[in-house]
Amino acid sequence: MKKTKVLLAKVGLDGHMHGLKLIATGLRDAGIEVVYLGLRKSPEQIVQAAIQEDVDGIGLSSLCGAHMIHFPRVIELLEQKGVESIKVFGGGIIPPEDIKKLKKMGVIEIFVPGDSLPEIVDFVKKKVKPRS
Amino acid sequence: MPKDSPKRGNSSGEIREQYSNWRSGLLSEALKKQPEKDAEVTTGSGLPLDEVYSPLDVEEAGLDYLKDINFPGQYPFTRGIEPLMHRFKPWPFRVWSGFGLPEESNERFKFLIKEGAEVIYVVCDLPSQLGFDSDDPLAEGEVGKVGVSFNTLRDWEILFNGIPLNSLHEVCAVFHANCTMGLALFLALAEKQGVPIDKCGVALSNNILLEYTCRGAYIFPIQESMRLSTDLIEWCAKYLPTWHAARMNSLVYREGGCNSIQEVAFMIADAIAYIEWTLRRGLDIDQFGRQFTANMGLDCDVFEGVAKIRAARRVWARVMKERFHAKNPETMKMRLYGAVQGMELTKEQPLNNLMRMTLQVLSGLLGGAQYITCAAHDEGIKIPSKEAARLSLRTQQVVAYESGAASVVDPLGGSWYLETLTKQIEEGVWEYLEKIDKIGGAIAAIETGFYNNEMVAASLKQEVRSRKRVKVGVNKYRAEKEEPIGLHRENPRVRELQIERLRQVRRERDNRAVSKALRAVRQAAKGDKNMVPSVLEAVKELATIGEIYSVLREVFGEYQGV
Repeated sequence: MKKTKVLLAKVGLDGHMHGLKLIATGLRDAGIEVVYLGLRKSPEQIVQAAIQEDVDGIGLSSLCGAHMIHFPRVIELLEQKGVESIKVFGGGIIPPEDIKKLKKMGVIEIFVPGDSLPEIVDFVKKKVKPRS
Repeated sequence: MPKDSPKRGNSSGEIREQYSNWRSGLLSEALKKQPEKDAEVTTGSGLPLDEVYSPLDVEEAGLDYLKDINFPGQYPFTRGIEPLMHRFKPWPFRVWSGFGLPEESNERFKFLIKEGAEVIYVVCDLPSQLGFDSDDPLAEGEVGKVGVSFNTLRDWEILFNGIPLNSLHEVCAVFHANCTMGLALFLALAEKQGVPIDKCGVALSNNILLEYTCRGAYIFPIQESMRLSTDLIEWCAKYLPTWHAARMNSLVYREGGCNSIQEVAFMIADAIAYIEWTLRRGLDIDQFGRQFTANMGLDCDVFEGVAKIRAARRVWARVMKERFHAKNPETMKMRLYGAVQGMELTKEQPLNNLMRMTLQVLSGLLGGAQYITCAAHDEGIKIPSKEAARLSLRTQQVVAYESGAASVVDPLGGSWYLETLTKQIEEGVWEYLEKIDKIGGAIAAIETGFYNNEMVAASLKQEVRSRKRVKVGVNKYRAEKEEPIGLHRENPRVRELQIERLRQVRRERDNRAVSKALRAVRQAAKGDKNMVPSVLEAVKELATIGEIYSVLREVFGEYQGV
């Protein structure tokens, strides 16, 4: 069976990297292939890398309040490129009202402080599957 | 001190015998009845704990009162760096604040000063931390978001409008990658305000290494960044002896998942790197060592919090004296900023955080911090509201004036548990320092991924532990529905207004003088002279942060990290 492949990136200028690295480790341990793109990536860079790497999901992290600018832009670019089958999930310090809006725009889940690593890993295993 | 010394009635042989009877008798009976007896009991950061501590533990740890503990103000400063600590006067209440426009933060600062704040720690937004102007495309969505926005000296003047620098006990700001401009802003501001710079307390954070290990707000490659940091330490040693030139940091490591041993070890390993770089400039350790400070996170686990602070002070003093041969005791004193750790706070039932903050501030007081900064209970959700900021100040004030814990210096000293834990942390720190020395020091430990691997491994453990531990309101006593609290309201026009002001500055300033100053910055960066004078000149000419840092980016290149 084809392995699920997920791209993880920090979008915008926020550099708090520990959480995302932890998630990368957790996903890898669960048998998911992880492309860790690193810090300060623009939505354009992220979508380009996602297409090049042919991933099934994108995990975005932003802890500093720029999520409402960058997360929707990623969704929009995926649609423009015709790869909206790539699922987008995210995490950060994100208020409930923004979570609602982001989910409406197509982000499949938003994780916030307090959500556990096994919960996140389980979610990705269940909801992000190989696309072809 | 009591007039009669306490009687030492029992020999350690007697105590040992009684201890072994107690273990096999009372304790084992009690354990049999305890269904959860196999659950691991640890400190907040995961160090294993015995059921009880006694004189035997202190004896086994080989603690020598005069050599290892001594009286406050005396080497190795385990009990505090001053003989009286806060017996007659609380620490200067320090607040961490900054958001939106400079005038919005200015208003908040004035409010906090009125409520008793004596030290303002300015939080800057990410574009300025990374050297971008508000109109840079990369700044979209980030201007004034996590801190106050600024582009030029003019913003800094607005930020401190009506707050002369010398009216505060001390002022600090988040300046790491952009630390040179930070120092220049304070110098230029003091000049504009007409206050004597040697009468101002200014504390620079100036700790770029933590950006590579934890926060990610770096700009340049490590060597170039270290040069800039060392320039500041050198400049302060020579011309600004009352300033704090660099602040070492254990909090960022703890928040990265480290236990209390690792956080102290990594902080001190970083300090060693900066000291070695500065010594290579030909300065003597006693010329600049006292201008280093330490920033440590405070703990809800009060005993561990106090033990790690005491251990850090002891190692710090010994490193200064034994490794760097400091002669002046002032150089050996670790001046401590204790800060409430955001990671202990929860977004669930945010008012519960007030109790967590109280415990943490108490651990800072009991540990002997020189300054304490309290977070705000709503920080897990948003920039603190005005009321939340006031409550964070009140938390400090209540602990300072009403707990009684300030009346006696190091009141927990001598507790068998505390002294054993302090020693245990200290020994662990020495082991880590040896490991890091073998790798080649802190910078090599960053480049080889040692810090990173340690932190990932530690956070995995911490993640598992945090699921087992009770977190009130999160995994126990959860609310069915969270009660809404009043939150800070963001100004949606910050970026637009900052761009407007930036354009106005660019129109009004002497652009030829700016170009000339920026050329001088470029020349200085290419050479090996101290960067402070050229950046200061550019700041005074109203060069923007984006202009100054794009020149430096061109000369130094950028760090291509993870």
